[in-house]
Amino acid sequence: QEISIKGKVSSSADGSALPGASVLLKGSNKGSTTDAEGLFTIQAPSGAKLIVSFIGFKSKEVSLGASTMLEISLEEDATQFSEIVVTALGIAREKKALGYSVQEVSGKQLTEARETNLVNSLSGRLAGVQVTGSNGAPGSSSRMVIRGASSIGSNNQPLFVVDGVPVDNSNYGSGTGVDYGNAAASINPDDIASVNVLKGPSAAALYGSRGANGVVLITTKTGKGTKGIGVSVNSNTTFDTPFRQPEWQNEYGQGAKGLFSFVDGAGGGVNDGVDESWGPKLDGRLIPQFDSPLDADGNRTATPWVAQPDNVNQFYRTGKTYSNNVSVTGANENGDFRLSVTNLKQNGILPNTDYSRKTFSLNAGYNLTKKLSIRATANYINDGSDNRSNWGLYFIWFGRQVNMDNLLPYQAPGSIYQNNWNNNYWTNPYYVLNLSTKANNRDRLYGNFSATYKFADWLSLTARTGTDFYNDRRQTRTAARKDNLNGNKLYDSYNEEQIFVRESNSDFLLNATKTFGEFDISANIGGNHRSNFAQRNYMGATELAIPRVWNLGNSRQRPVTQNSIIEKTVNSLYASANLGFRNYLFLDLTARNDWSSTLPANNRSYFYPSAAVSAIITDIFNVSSNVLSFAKLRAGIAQVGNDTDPYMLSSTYNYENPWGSTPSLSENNALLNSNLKPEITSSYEIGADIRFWRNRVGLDMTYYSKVSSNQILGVNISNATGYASKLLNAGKIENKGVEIQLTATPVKTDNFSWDIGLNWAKNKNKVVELANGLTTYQLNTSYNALTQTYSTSSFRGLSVEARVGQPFGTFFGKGFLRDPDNNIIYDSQGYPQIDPVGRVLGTFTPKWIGGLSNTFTYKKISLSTLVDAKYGGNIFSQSINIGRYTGVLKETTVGREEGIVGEGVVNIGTADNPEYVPNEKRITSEEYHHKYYLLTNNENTIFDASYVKLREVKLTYSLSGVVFKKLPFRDITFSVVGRNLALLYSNLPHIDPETSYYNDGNLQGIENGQIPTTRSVGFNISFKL
Amino acid sequence: LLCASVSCTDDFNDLNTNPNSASSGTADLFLPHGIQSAVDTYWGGTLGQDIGNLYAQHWARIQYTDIDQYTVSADVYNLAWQNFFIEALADYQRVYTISTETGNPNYQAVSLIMKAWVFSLLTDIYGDIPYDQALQGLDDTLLPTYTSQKDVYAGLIGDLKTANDLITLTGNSISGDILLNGNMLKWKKFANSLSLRILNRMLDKSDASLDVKTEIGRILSNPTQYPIIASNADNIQLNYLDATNNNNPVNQNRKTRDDHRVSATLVNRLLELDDDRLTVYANLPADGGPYKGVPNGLAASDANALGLSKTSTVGSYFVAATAPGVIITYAEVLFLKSEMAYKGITSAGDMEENYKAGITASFAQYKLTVAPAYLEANALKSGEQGYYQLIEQKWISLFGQGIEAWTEFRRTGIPTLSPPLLNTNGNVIPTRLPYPTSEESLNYENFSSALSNQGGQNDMKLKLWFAK
Repeated sequence: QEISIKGKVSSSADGSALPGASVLLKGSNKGSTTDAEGLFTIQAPSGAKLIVSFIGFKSKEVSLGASTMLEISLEEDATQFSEIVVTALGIAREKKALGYSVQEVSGKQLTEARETNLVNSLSGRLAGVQVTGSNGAPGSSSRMVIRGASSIGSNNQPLFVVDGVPVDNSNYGSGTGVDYGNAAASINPDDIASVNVLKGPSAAALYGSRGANGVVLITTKTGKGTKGIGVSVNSNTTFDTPFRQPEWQNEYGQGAKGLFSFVDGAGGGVNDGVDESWGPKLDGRLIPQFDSPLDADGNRTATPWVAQPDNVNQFYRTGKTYSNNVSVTGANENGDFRLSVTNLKQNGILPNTDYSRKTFSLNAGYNLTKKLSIRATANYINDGSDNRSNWGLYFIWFGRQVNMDNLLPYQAPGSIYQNNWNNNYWTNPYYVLNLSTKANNRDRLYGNFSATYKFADWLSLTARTGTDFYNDRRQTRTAARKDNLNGNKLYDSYNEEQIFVRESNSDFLLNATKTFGEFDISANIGGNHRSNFAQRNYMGATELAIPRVWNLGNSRQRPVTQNSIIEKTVNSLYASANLGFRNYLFLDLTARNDWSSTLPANNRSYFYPSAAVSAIITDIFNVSSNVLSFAKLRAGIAQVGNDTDPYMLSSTYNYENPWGSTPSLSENNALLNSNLKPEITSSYEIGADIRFWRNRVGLDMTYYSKVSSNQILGVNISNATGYASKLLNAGKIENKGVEIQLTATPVKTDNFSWDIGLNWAKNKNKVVELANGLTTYQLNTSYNALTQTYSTSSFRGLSVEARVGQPFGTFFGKGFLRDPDNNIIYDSQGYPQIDPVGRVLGTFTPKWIGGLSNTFTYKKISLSTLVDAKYGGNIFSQSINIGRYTGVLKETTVGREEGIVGEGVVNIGTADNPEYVPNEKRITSEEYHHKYYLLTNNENTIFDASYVKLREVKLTYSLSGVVFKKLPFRDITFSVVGRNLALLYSNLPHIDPETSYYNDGNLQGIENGQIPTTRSVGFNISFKL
Repeated sequence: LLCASVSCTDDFNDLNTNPNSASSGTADLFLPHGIQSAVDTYWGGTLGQDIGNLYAQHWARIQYTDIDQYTVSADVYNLAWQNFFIEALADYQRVYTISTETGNPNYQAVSLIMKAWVFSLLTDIYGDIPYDQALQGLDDTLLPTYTSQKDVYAGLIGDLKTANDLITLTGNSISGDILLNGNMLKWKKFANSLSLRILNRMLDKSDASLDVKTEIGRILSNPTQYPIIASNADNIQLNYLDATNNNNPVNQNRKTRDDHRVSATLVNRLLELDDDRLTVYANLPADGGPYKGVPNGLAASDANALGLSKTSTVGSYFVAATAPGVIITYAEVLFLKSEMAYKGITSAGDMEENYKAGITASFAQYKLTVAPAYLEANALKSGEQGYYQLIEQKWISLFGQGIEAWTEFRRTGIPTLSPPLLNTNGNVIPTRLPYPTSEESLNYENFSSALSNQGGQNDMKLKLWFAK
């Protein structure tokens, strides 16, 4: 017979409550965690025993007697170390029993120092986890990779699981200039109790295919442990500014060869169509400009030609994010609930860009009978934006004298078309942001129902069904900037796109937990049915008849229509067994078989196992001392299989635009493959977790190796085959690495403590082989499952590759022609020459990443800092290269008056018998920069992307318990938080080294002048009623 | 739930069948895209507009002049190769496969002829190309070897003869033929006229892989079996439509860009010759004044300084939505015969007659009538001077067909063109386009042996076989 037990856990030293302590029902996997006041509730049979544990304290076994309200005080002791963590399938385990590495981030860390995108908040906190935010646009996406990229051709991001049910993290449509955000970004940090990251395939073996890249397990808050009804309020306000902007030159204005005079901004005046800054010196001379007043004849009068050092800066506004959350919790002996409402509103640093998100969340559980309990969670999210505009390379092609204020009347007087500094190439940015909007609105619902039936104390069955679906409606307007061009009328365009995505999972899990003498055994058998469905409907009017009427009915011609659906099902069966001996030696075994609809009948069933051991050395040999408090060794080995996207087995033809009324098809550019096999990732890891000096210092080290083979790759092939790619089981990629986490508390007194956390990870990534004699896989081609199309992104001839023998993400392209001494060879005109033979120019894969946190706590005040670093790896920066080409960057003032002699040699011999002498040919600075930074030369676009960043500083003042006698507020916490505060080290000029034009695909390391990333400063208040 | 978990996979085959697109199709469905993508690439885009028209000095750049100074980004030479191989040729291959199965020889012939034309463009542009082993991706030939230009040419002549012989003029009607509207006689004329063009490229070569003179004789002495283009009405051209996606690619380009002008080289020569075709080839500057061409390869600022409204844009005829994309004309066939006559092929007729008829046909193509005074003033001189006149007239007549004009310049060196003062190709007018970076990355061994066989690097200075 089960009874509801409540209790309070406190420290024996000072009686203070211990929030976050774990309470485990002995001989089962059932557990609970104490709330902020140290309170917990647990269902337990009478006479059972509870194991209560907390980091830094001695675990205690408590026998249940008559009392249903327990007061448990724990003794501070470093010789014991025990924590409960959530592992695969939501099973709570003692951390010491795990043979693999798991790391946790608490919900509190996510809400106080808040990012709109959940994924960004994890940056720097976890060893071996690399997070790349894309840009500073509100609601933009982020990419997360754990232990390096293991899949060459498909997604490398981990699986996101909320309360045991996978949720969608797809991102349809980024990289097209509009970033609609990755789906996991919309999970509300306010509702998260904890985030556990399972890093290796062993940890994720039970999640199957998608666990190969690791799993992010999110546990949401419940109402458990609430006395009666509790209300919590959290309010957060942050202000965003550009993190880093290029250093501009302010000595020379727009134009070429030192000349400029504006007539129509399209070549009608002197160099007025030129969008570069090689014009006259900004010395106040009088020159007709775009904003000069017109005289009686309609000609521009000359006005002073002066620098506008702040013109770009004044264009950005301070972004503001407001996020407010109210949650109500309640619990009694039979049930609990939590209701939460969050409203987030963000204004971007670009004028007229925004993002908003409303989240309604319910989590409730009830014990229907002594044996049957049920729980339901539901999250409804409405998010979207009126405008998600992003762009590439604005201000990199620019006139440094342009006064942005005078672009604010963005329409020309008496016209619906633009007023601008250049009418040749550019659209007024205010015009774009106000008229060419990219809006979307998404309704999303995810949640699950579960029921647990206890046949006996040792045997239970859980059945669960969950779904995640959203409907995203996107409306994209593009306003023509001129009325006509060269006699051709220009038209506005408009399109609407609707994307519906649904993933459903149903599963059951039968659990048996028993203790036989010195053995603890827990066994699970389960199964899962997963189905995915996605649908896209697109209609676009490329030419609107009546300007600025945004409706498809206003199309001049039949609108372009496209639609598609994709479906996929995966069925799975799995089993696991956990064996414990004397609570110091543990063995974990798992086995899983998947059946995927995407693979051919012969290969659609695939099996994969894992095994892990954990040994508490200090307990086995009884060697704990004052120096060595705890030591654990662990080892694991695992395999994970993976399938592919739907419809990859046999080719179909493409629809093409009809010729008049003649229908048209074309041969598919991709060769598919009816004999695909599942991908297999095999890995092992060994690790140690050692604690010294009564847990004051902890060291956790892991070495891992994983090899992914039979990779399903759409390998690019010679176009001369008639095809662009062929789907093959082709790749083998290897990742080996080391992860180290160090925690230390150098100072700890009654009132003051200092905690240090350090994590460091080095991953060595190598493409071992492709197949069929192929040596290169090009990452700049990506497959969109929903539109079933491959798209290739091209950056000035640069190829981003997985090249055999090189790390993933090698930049291959053209560089300077060099002599045997590595000097650049110039031609007789004084121009550097390009080597016609392509070569490896760098890689976007870093050598190591790490993070360092420090927390200082003095009484109720706590100050924490987080620094993170990435060392090695390159970035392809268009901003820097082009900014030098166009003369807008600071360093381009060199040689403006006297010219430049390029450093290098010229060949005065013959091609066969070269004789190199120093180049002495002097050319103008403009010519030099145009030729040295020639846009077809990739070498001068690749830069070292290493950095050290001050990621976060947080100052928190907390008052626990009742604060004001008369007022009902209690547990007040106030924090001031800064995120992305400073770049402490970087070899890269002008831009944030941590930026990516492509948000979440495998094409990384590309900077394309997108919106700068942001620095945010804000404050957070939370309290309870 | 249990069933779902325990491998209930019966419906998986249905579930994984693509519901969105067709897995079977008829030959006619593949012709429109196959034809349009080839003509679009050849006529418009950056290949036709920039490589062909600029390097033949028919057009010049007034904005973004880098490419007019021979700085060619990889995208340019990647895209042309890609479009020809995977958009156009793959469709013809599919038409060929389907028609072989269904047994309509006219579709087979059409696919062979279109293939021959596109392969001839590829070898003219790049040199040696994958040909014998090309288009065999379905058979797992993923690393195709390269075939030398002379063997490609010889292969094409064979294919075009086969195509001519396959065609039946009655029965076996075809549809989806947006180029010649199912007129199989015109397809024969296309095949044989294209053969003449290719044979003419081989005419001076002692190491040609077939007997060039015999092949020319085969065609010219038997017009019933091997008909060729005999009037402007026979011109092989794609007549674009006035509709988005079906309009002329130059027209499409002009909807958002205004980067091109007529080259000063051409304008000045036509003014010297007092040639009325200038009124079709170029427009008067918007701000008034006489025709004014733009010199090729100016610095961007110098070009811009000439003024967009003070220089001659490309003639309205060529930027209209319905402007034809011209593949081979009556004028060209006459000029080919004139050159063959000059080189001693008797079946080609008289050099001067063909030359005059060629000029007349070129004028007539634009509804112009050539003045007798013009023909008189340009009367054919003897020997090399006459040959220069012939090829120069051909150069003028090929306006719009930039790739062909550039190829003929590379073959003959006529007319005398100078590279722009500012250029990044060592004062050499580009002799070819580099092979795409995808070949360097994905088919490296065959790519490098092709280069060593041709004796050069992957640059734009390597002389191709026809120009040696």
